[in-house]
Amino acid sequence: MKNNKMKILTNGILKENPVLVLVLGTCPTLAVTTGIVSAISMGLATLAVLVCSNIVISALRNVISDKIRIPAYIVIIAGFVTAVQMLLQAFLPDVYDMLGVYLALIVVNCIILGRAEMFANKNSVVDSALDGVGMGIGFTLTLFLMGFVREVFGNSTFAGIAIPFLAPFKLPILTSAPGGFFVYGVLIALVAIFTKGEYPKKKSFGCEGCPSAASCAKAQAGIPCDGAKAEESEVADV
Amino acid sequence: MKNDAIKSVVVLTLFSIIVMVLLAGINTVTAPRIAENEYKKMMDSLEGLIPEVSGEDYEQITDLSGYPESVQNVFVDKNGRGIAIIFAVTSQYSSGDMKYSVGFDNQGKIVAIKQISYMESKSFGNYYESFVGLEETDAADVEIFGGVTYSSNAFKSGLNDAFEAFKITNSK
Repeated sequence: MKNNKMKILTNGILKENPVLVLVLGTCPTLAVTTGIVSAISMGLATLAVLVCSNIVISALRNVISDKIRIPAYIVIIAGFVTAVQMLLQAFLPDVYDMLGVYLALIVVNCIILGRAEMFANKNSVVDSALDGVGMGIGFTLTLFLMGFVREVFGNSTFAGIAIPFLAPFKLPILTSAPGGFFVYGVLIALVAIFTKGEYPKKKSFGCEGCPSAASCAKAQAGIPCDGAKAEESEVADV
Repeated sequence: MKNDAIKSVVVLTLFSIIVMVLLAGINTVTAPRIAENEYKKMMDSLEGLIPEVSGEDYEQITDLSGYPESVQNVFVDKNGRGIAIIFAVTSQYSSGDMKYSVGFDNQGKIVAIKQISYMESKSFGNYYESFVGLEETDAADVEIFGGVTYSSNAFKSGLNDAFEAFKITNSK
């Protein structure tokens, strides 16, 4: 039981890292990682929204019917994002200015909607909160790592503090969009090496974890998913 | 089937109302603080905008009827050394979140521009500084910033409004 909770919490950090394994939330990842401070700020803002939305969606999972789940999730997520925006603008205006338009775009961050669909609407409040914390930490750590590489080696500064001995060797391309893609690709490759490429395949989630389960004839009939070819013939049979 | 549809509408409406009420509650706490921060940022931007003119040297014009819509505040130096104008414009995405203060000398030449806020997805760096030292006719000839055309155009439009506000203020 305790191990299971720990597994849920730690899954998002490496094994199911939302950015480097599930490849979700790529837009803010590339946009705000030109600096360490903005990367951590975005990570923490997303973590707060992710935990709160996972808790609320899990608590209301029996009230929200399948047909209205997407608009209901968006209303809940948008509410939390707006609250975070207002609080940052009031109490941390520098962070609010730094994140700019990307703060509002947390509403459409695939990680948050993805976790609501794949986890929160099928699991208990505690498990969903743990999943939100784990995924949020995984997202924040990834942003920090990318921000660190791009700022330190691309701009020879750390959180805005100059590192003079790195100045002659800096690679300004790292702070631009192509450099962001390059660092992102390298990190994905490193994680794939570290995890020996054992990222979760779609079928390993089972029908319960599949976002298309509600509209899939095979899932409705209780036929297990075992690959694309089997899917075509079985759906035809059903 | 019909009951399902009604239930769905009721649930979504209830969600929206609850979220709205909660946000209204948070807004009552944060709004005064946000207004205070905005005012402080604006007053900070006035410092040194016109050479040798500090914040307390300005007199604010409270009646802005007849001024362009984007002009939010107008400050006149009590000693007649220039006029400071604050304008906020909207680009393609956000809502009035490009905010600048512009300092004019008595001849209508821009002496300084300061960025108060910029919430666009793509920065145009120090583009606004290329307008410093220009009069209205010269400012119109400055080309827009390649790749950030919407924001550049919005800025130029706001600057035109600032020139207009300068003329209105000067004629009073």
